[in-house]
Amino acid sequence: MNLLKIILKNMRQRALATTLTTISVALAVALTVAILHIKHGMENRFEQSAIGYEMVVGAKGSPLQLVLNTVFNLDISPGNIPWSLVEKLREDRRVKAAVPFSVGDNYHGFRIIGTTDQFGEAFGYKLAEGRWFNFSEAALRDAFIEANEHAHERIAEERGETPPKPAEHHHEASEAVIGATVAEQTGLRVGQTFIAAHGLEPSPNAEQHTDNPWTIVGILAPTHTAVDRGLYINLDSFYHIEGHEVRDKSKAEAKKEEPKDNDPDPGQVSSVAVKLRSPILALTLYREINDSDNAMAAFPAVEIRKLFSIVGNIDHILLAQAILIGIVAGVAIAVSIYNSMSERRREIAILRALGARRGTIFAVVVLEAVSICAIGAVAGVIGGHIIVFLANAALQRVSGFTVSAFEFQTVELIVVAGCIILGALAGLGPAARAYRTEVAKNLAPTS
Amino acid sequence: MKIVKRVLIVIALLGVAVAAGSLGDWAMGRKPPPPRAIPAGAALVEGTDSSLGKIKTLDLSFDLLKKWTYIEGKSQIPPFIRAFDGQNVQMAGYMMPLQDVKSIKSFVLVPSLFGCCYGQPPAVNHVILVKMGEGKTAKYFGDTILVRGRFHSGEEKDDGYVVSLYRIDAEEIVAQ
Repeated sequence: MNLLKIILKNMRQRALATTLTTISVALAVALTVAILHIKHGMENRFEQSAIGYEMVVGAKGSPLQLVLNTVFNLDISPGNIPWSLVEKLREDRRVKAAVPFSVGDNYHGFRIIGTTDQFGEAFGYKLAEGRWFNFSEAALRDAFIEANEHAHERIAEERGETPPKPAEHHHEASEAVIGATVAEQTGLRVGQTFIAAHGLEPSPNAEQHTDNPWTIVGILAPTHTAVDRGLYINLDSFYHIEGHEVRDKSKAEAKKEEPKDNDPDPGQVSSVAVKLRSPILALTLYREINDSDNAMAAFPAVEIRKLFSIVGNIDHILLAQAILIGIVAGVAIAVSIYNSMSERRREIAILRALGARRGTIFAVVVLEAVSICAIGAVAGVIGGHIIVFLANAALQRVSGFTVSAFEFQTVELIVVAGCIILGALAGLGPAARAYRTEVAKNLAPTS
Repeated sequence: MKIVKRVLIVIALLGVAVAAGSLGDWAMGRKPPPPRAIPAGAALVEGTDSSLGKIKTLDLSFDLLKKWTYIEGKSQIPPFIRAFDGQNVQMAGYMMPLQDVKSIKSFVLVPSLFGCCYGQPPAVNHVILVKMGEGKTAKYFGDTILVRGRFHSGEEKDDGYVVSLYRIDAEEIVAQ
């Protein structure tokens, strides 16, 4: 009988203890692998190296919220900023490009973002197929005016007055360009149409804006950033959506007279992404915007670094927990083999009598613990990937990112190696006892 | 033998408790691993382990840069700064990378960390645009750094607008 056979028979003889200790090792490894994978996925998502712009400008509030909302399509918008600010930024000599965003609706959980056709060109996002929609400032102004009229109408209705008959407006067909992930997961293609649901998260009861379908005219090439998960619509069509009127009632009321074409502040947007001519110029512009009382500027790179300095510690705790579970599993193996030693004393004595050396007996016990750990580790790696696979749906819902469950990392090899070392250590105690077993004393039947 | 077993279990449990305690401390930040993840003098250029000392350099400081007032289109860079042009310089400051979260390809070297909202933000002639060499990237470091590389001065323009006055093509960056 060779060593391996003896080990296998030993393990099979105490199948229950072996299975249970293997499972505990597997659980520890699965947890470690899953944590490492999710952490890796999160870092990739947030540390996307090319954001494309240095600064975002939005309503006063939390800079992190503004960055999450604008750059990563997460959280909610901190509020709106006037359109005049967008124009001011565009005219600023320090600014290379200022692209406005308006958010408030989703399509199957993917955000619908109202923006201009400058978006792709300014930040370097390329189309995989189709073309960009045609944005015109005049159409946007019309959309703002129309939204204002809707606001007047509502106010009149609430007061019980007969609303003034709204002027007929001719809309250009609403067009959209969608991100690569959206196209892949929803199956939308160029030429197809979609309708928006109200809100930023999917909900079965959400109001559907059925009267405003968009036609897809282009699909973006994969960028491996949050851009892949957005549907980009012409900014003016965003204001055609029912309910997207000027929210400031007093303002809508004050403008009861005919809205003028040259009104400096016809509408609002959620935020503006600003690409500067040079990062040096960001310093003064940042201060100027933050000193003003209607807007705030934030640097995505700085906010993400801050976020990670907080979140980074949480996954250390999780990882420490997983390592502890591993150690507990190792102790369980040691205890379980140790407990079986009294039963095995005779067996060991017989093996010794048949010519097995002390070293061989020692090796058999250590190797048994090592094989339990090795089997557990392999099962754990597979289990970890299954956890990641199952967690993806929840991850996507909560944070909008997914982790590839079929991607292996080198760190998993380290986890497996660590497990085997742990097994060897766990086997040392019982093996020492087996080593010391006296042949003559234990050869006789014990009971 | 039973006693041995019990002693072993107790030792094992104690070991686990100690490990858990120290891991907990470490994770809660009570005992941060080393006080600084990056020791002084460590190279911040990714993929290198060389620290300073390879090239002969001149010392350049923000105090010197601040010794004149720049007005776009009117001022000439004074000779005491021109003298550094094309030379290898060494300069201390803080890095402010705005484009990359990690694997930093370029950053602004500023005299102090940028807080909100008192004091004046540094002007174009008070900061340096640091560019990493081809294919090189730097790690982020939140404390003072030392940058070594070739210094260039002059108005760099984009569409007719001045976007930088001083630039360093960084060869070495170390934590200070």
